[in-house]
Amino acid sequence: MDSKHFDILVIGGGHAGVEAVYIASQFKNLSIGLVTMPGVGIASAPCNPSIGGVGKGQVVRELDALGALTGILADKSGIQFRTLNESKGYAVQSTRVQIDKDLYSKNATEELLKIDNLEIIFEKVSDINKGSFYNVITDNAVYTSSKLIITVGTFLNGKLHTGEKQVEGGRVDAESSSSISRFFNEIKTISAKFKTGTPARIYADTVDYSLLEEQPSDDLVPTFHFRHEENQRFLPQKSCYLTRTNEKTLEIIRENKERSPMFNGQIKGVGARYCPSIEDKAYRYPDKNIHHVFVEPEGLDVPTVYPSGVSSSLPEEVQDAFLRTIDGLKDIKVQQYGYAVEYDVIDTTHLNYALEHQEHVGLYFAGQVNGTSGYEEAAAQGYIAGVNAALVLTKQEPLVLSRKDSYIGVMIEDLISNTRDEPYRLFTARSENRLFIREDNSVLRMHKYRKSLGLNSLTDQYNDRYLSYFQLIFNKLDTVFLGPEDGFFKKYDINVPRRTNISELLRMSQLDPIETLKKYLDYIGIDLPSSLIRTIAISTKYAGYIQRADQSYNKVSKLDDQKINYEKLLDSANISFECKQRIEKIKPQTFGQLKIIEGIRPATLAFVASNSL
Amino acid sequence: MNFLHSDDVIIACSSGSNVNTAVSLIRISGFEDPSVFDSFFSMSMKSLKPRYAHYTNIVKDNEVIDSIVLTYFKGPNSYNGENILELGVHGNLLNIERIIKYFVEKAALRYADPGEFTYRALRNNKMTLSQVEGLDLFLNTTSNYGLKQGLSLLGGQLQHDYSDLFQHFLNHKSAVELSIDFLDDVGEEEANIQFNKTLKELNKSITTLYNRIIIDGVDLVNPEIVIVGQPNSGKSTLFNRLLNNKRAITSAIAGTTRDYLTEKIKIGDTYFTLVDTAGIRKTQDEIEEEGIRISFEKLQTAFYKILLINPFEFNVEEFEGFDLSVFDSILFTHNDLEGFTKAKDAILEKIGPIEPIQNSGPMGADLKSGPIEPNQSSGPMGADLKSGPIEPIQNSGPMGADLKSGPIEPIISIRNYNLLSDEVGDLKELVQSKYNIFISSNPIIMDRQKFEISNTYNQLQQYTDITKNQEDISIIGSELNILGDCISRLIGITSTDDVLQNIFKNFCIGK
Repeated sequence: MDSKHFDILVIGGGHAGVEAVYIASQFKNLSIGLVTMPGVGIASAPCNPSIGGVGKGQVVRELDALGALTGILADKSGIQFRTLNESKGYAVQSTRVQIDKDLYSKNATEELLKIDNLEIIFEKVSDINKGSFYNVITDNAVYTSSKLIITVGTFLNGKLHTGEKQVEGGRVDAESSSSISRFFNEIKTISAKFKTGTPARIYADTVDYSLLEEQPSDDLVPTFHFRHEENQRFLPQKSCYLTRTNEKTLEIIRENKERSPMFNGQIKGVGARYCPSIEDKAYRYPDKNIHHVFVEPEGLDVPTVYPSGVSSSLPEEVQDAFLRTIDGLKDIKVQQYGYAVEYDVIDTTHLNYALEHQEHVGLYFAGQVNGTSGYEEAAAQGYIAGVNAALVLTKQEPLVLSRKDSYIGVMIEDLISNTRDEPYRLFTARSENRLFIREDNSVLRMHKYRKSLGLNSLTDQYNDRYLSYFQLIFNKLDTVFLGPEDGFFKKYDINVPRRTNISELLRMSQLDPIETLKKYLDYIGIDLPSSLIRTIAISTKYAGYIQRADQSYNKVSKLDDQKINYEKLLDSANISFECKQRIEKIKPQTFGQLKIIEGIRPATLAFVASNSL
Repeated sequence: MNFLHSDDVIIACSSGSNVNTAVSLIRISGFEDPSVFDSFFSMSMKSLKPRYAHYTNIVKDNEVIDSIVLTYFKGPNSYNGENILELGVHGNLLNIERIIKYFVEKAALRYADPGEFTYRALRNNKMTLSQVEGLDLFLNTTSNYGLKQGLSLLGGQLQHDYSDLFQHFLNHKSAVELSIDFLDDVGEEEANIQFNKTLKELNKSITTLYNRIIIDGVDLVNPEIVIVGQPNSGKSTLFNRLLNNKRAITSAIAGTTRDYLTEKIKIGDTYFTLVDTAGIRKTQDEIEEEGIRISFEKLQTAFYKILLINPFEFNVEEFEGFDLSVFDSILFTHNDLEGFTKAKDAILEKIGPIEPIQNSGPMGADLKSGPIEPNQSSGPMGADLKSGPIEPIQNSGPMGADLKSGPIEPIISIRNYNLLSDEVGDLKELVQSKYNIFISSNPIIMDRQKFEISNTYNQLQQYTDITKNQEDISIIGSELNILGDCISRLIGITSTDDVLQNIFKNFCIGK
């Protein structure tokens, strides 16, 4: 048998695995391996064919500023661009891109193949064990590595359900990884299985689009990646379509309740409440019959569409029947019926901020195996695991993103602080600092993190330049005053009561801050990229509100950043057994993290605050 | 957490303060030498023997406030290792609050935060943590137990009301998050309906609490019965008649340097301060004029206001410009004399019918005089109001409206009295019945809570303004978080999980 050694080995070529190897391989002295199942596309999109969305668009831009791949792939494979929450305020606006799922996977593979210090191994893992290195055994070879990153998605003891049919597997086109579960017996999984589901795929040419509401692509939505032109489109754009369920649809589903694996006890896994199957909706909201169904294209040459909103694990004939009641879907032909997957997830409270397992040095977990849902959440975790594995090997400080300035930081801390009882998705509501954690300023927020890696690549040069331009202009706005008679105001017919500086001007409620700044810079002859103008304008507009919120928040969270030594706490005679158990499990690093652990008594906090800080 | 490193002298009622009890314990902790409190007690602090019980009085301006049992625990041999004074006082809630307020105003100390005594015990290694945990009253924290913890400090109806407030806040916050993270699922229209509906309910909930703190227009902590009248109208006679039936705790102390007399009088379970004021008349005498000015001033915050009129000597002009409808009782004296009815009628004709202002309660006077402001002259709250972020409350808005429909009906009784022979028991009944009405409206009298409620209310007004003028939901969300911080300080903290939980429970989410 062949044998080969890597510094870092990643198992699983999904969105998490791809980001893990992409960032790790930027440390050019390291050798990186990616073991992925033969026959399964790299970075494939087995569920909805889109990247981004509320909260998630922010993550993709954070990743891009950190030098990750997702933004590049989404731009290059994008067939529809939209800004969600466009009328809701800058901080909660998010980009979502519908992708051609075949091209996305193809582009990902091409990008990885370009990398010199990365080897992609299309083999099925049959065993994993740990000696002086991690040993990953396939049918053909034994691979060893110092650091092992597991990103196996739903493949851990995966089981598929469609009606009464049950199959072992991680998803419909691939067998599961149950054979490696021997290794995982040592790793704590959470007691409940998680469940996720996907809807039927419908042949695009069997849908009657005349009955649906068209949602075209928006040409003005900026791309994710910094080196792409602001409104560049790599592919022809396609529309999404909106239709709705009706009384008849839900009636069929309700009539077949006993045939639903979700409700007849066949599936025991816990699904996410925010991503319910159509069965969930039917049974849980008996009075509601109208639910949105978004018909999303899966690609330019892909023959199918994805009906978002009707994921189901009902028997095939029931799925056929209820789908055909929906406007525009009367004569559809299904290519692949919807199904549910049950799978095991790791107990993430055993992981640290680097997503490294606390009992197994050098072993990292990222992605859906950690109980999250979504490609973006997976990609971000892959990045964190990959970069931290590389940082250990290059003897540098770990990279820990704060929840105060990134959604990635919010997610990692949420994951490792508490055991999940349902799949985890990022919501903007999870951040305490939503006005600051925006898409537009992701470069400003990520700059210091990326720089700390010492990689000094194009990304870093771009970030540096962005930051210096930002600071130059942003700081100047307070000092430039214009009288009410200034030529600028005359030219654009703006009325101000008195001498006003540009910052004040941008904060005026009757003016659009971005347009106003654009006009002003144009007036004085300064030419800047519009993404930078946007960041400056929005940052100015929000500055006062952010300060107010900070003051209020700091009052209640003064001590949150203080580091604590949890091992000392475990030795203390002064902390109850119950609290110690929780502390031992979570291993909190800061007072803030200790605080959000469920079941920690206030008295413990007081003790820690008074004795350890 | 702001008290983690504080060495202030602190005071609090340690025996629970939500029901009337026979005896309650007030603790003062953290002072260097008890002699700083010399002026507060009738005994000298020099004769205070550690760990002995001393029977003494709390005195304020030579006046006895309460008779108490005082015990001094010298640190480190005390509950928390610091010097502690324990005051066993009469357990009427209002009495407790009055005493604490007196100390907070006049001594260099402050209200203890919940759990602060115990925290100090922990800090001084006087307790192990498991002991502290057993006490179960602690810091407001952001742990998921925060709410429960905060609420456990309260009890009964108030806990219920705070839970209510919390739920309404949660609902509104959920509505905001709904329109950001789940707009595709619920749609714009439904999100707007939810937003407005939940804001209205939150507003109502906070305003209801707020209305319960501004009954402060009259001082319920130290309620006074003030007798006003012209010289020879019978004020002193009435004063003495009321006291004849007294079981007052001390004898009258005539004010030598002041122009009014006060005396404690117990009606029902409550101690009132009975105030006999200087006779009101036009005068050139500066000292007398000052006395008259004080009489009117006393009247402002008095709980029960009595005007005595001797119809044979009454001079209407001296009350000119003065609104007689502020009085709770107007008593015509000397009804045993011949010509009483005629004289009385003549006066009534001159001053016109005395009727309560329609639709305004006992606070009518305040309402009329423009912006209603919290009582700025008294209490730690007043002090904070002046310097702090709380702005005077405007006279418009929900409060006025609510007061109109409030439970407190104006009552003015007009009676004829023969002060020498008539019983005054019915006058006491009137006082008690007014008091009962006030108490039944469930006022919040704890100053710390008053402060936080007032804070919350003001932030809500700001927030509501922003929701009207601002289209940016993320700014609205940020301001709502600030309101949430205010509510947190009042009752414990809301976590994101609470909000998401609430959303998933109530809305059909997910595409």
